[in-house]
Amino acid sequence: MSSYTLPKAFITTVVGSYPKFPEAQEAIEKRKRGLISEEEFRKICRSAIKKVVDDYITAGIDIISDGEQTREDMVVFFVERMKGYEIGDWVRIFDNVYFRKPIVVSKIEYAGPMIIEDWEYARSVSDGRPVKFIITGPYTILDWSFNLYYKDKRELIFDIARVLRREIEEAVRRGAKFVQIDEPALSTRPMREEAELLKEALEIMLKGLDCKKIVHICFGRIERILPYILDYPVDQFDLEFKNSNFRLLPYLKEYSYNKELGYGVVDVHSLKVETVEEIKDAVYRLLKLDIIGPEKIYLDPDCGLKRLPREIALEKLKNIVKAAKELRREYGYES
Amino acid sequence: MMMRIFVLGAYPRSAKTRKAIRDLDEGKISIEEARLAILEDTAYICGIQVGAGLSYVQDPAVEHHDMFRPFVESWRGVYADGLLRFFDNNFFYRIPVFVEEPDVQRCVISQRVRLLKKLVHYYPVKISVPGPVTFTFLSKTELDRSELAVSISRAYVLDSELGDAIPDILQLDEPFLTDPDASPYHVSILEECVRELKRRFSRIIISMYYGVPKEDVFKKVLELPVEAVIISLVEYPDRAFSLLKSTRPELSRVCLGVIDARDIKVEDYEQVRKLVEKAMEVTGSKEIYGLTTSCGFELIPLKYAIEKTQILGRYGLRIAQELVR
Ligand SMILES: [Zn+2]
Repeated sequence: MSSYTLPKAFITTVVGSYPKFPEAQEAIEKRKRGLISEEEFRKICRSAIKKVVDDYITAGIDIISDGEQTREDMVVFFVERMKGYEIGDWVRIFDNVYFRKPIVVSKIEYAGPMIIEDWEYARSVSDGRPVKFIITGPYTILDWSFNLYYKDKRELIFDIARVLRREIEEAVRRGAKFVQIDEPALSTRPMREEAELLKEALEIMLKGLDCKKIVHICFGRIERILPYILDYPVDQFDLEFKNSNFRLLPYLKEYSYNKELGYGVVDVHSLKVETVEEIKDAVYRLLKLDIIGPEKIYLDPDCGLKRLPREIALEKLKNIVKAAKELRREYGYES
Repeated sequence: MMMRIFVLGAYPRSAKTRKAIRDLDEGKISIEEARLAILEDTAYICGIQVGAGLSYVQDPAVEHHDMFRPFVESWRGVYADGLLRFFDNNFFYRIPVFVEEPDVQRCVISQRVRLLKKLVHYYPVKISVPGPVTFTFLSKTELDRSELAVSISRAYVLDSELGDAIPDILQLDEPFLTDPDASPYHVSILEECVRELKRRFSRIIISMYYGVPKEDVFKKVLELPVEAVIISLVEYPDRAFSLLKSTRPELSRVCLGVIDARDIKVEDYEQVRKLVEKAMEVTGSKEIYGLTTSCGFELIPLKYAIEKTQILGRYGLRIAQELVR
């Protein structure tokens, strides 16, 4: 594995998911119908992961991901691989589209590695670029499933956190430098008590681990949740900005934000590819607030890219990289 | 007056109906075949409500993709756009986009009333519609929002006049009023809407769910000339009880959500009875308008919705005997 030197400022990264390659989609279906084993499933998905990594390298992204090619859904994937869950009946997501909402039926326990293998494989083909270890957080897993076992929601979330910790610990032991916890459900309930519950869970998951710790939150009322999360035991928040027209920026100033920031500069719900100038303008706006410097700013999309056509996802990433390069020159980090 | 017992909102689809709608979308079956599956669900769910001894039959609305869609598809001046998360749910609605004031092309409310009356002819029928404030503030528009809310109310009136049918109860679903951004200003818009609606609908109730409204909002909603106001006690009981304690409403005008319609865990009787007892205690009320669910049942599987409908009926009758004057 060759080594890769990260730039000093405006590091580029991704939130996680990438458009699904057909072989991965097909393998997910086949596995669900019991036509292939978990082992065969992972093997088939490798070619999809390789293509994702190649796209990231082509675009020039610094910290990449495995593209979440094996994950049919950000909650179901994990709970199917833990003890304590049963896959439930169909519940609507939108229109006539349904998902099988998982049910907690016994104590949640670790059953074995969930995403280590995908992450390891991505690392083996990443040409030395760091691969972020990205895992769905305990609040979102709790919120997007039913519970018939635990009397107390706190006990449940802490047990989920303990399971996730084992997975993260293993990744860190194998050399993961960047660990990201995805918590899209948190911003749907922007209340102090919910934020504090997740804080306790994060302490269980991340305490004492030697890696860069990141929490990703997107859409919903991020500005309302922000004051309650600033003391989370993490190094970086990765947040959506572009889709909500950078509404969040003044709040960073208001709450004296000073952690690293994963700055969402392209909209994953829009087919329009943001220009390099637009991305740079977004960065100027952030820098003008004078709260964090270029070394603390990571440029990335608002959220996972899975809903975009591949060509558009790739173009968006290329422009992020171009903007980052120009910005580094402008601010004297590269000649 | 007897305490009323009813379900707050819509029901989920059966597996058969989900498949029928999918097959219809793929052109595999005719619209008549799909309608038959929907009608079977509707009749079945109405029968369950009647069998549970509920005071009104709530429109199961199984064919509607989200609460706005039947109106968006039946009015000129508005269309359904991209998906957006619906409050704190892992469920997404299509954002209505109003380019002009709504113009009723097809009746929704009166059609629903006619259908339900055919199915349960002697039973009172409740239709819930998106409250005009929630409808307006969850939509995209360049129009003045307070004017739009009033014109949505007029569209409901016109629908009922054109189709010549009125539900026994019209329920305005206003989950937006539990949002931290909601204020008395929004209630003042609703006040004007209610005035419009009263021209046609004599019995109106307002439901606020997914959260607990702020005190100033709740107080102002209580002043509206409506029959009752629904709040949920199950999701945030501490907040709900402190609201009841500080505002001390007369519960004869408040309907309490006591069965969690977003969770599959089935409540036991004592748990529900305690909620009602506590609500009566903190408000000093002897009467209660009614008991209901915390919200609609759309986001749990049908079998649980049926079970919870039945326990609502059973517990409600027992509570009426044991607690309420
Ligand atoms: Zn996201």
